[in-house]
Amino acid sequence: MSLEFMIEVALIGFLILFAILAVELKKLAYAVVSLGLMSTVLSIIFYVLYAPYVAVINLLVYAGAVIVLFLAVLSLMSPGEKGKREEMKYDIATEVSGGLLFIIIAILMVQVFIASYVGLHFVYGEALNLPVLKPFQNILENVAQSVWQVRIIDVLIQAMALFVAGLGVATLFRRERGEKE
Amino acid sequence: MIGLNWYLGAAAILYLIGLYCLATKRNIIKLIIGIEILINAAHLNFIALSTTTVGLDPLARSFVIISIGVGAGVIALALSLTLLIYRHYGTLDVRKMRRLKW
Repeated sequence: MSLEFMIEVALIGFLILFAILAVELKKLAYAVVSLGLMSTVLSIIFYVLYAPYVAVINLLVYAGAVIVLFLAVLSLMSPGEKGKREEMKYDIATEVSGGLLFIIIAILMVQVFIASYVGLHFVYGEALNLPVLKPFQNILENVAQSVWQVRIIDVLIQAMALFVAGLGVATLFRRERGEKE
Repeated sequence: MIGLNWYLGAAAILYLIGLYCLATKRNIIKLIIGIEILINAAHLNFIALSTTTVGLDPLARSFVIISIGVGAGVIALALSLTLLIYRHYGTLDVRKMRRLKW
């Protein structure tokens, strides 16, 4: 068992651990911080998988901006809310129905997973099991070319959509402030 | 480098965690966290499946980059709506939001 193998397995383990913590922690601020750690580990995994651009953008956007946004929203709420524990009132109907739904979806997903895995092996053959060794420069050039030439329309539309979303949020808050005044 | 199975399995487990969060939690912030975990699982799947010895698919990576931007927009909009809902109802519990009239 090589060191690289152990590091990658540990990364995947941390990824799942932080995801579970983000869902299960009672205090919202801790849950958000755990989500940020999960995004950071995911960025490292992207880097390991030869996707440096995706890793950097994931680190900037999900582990940076979105987490800051979460914390800002929590800080705008009443002082008790961000540290408040969730209600622990035991609602058996929700738990049972949620658990049943979870089990059914899990069974379906395992079936889809196995089927898609078999299908992938049919298409790619032995290529799926071998380690990846590719020159690093080609990846950077290919991804940059793909983003700026092949998918330039998507990038422009995305920029416009984000701009419109920002305008919409600004409008919502402006109306809210105007109503109060 | 470990095989593709590990990454696909991790993505499937992340997806299940996100679905579990959406099915059982009642706090809006927790639901948004669940949505973000689902998006991250999909991104991991894309990147893992585009990394093979046949070649590294740049199209999948650029698609993930665009999806990250769109996902951040979705999360930002959801958080701003959460803030408005909190000011209107005074709670983050989704069960208590039964009136749609503002």
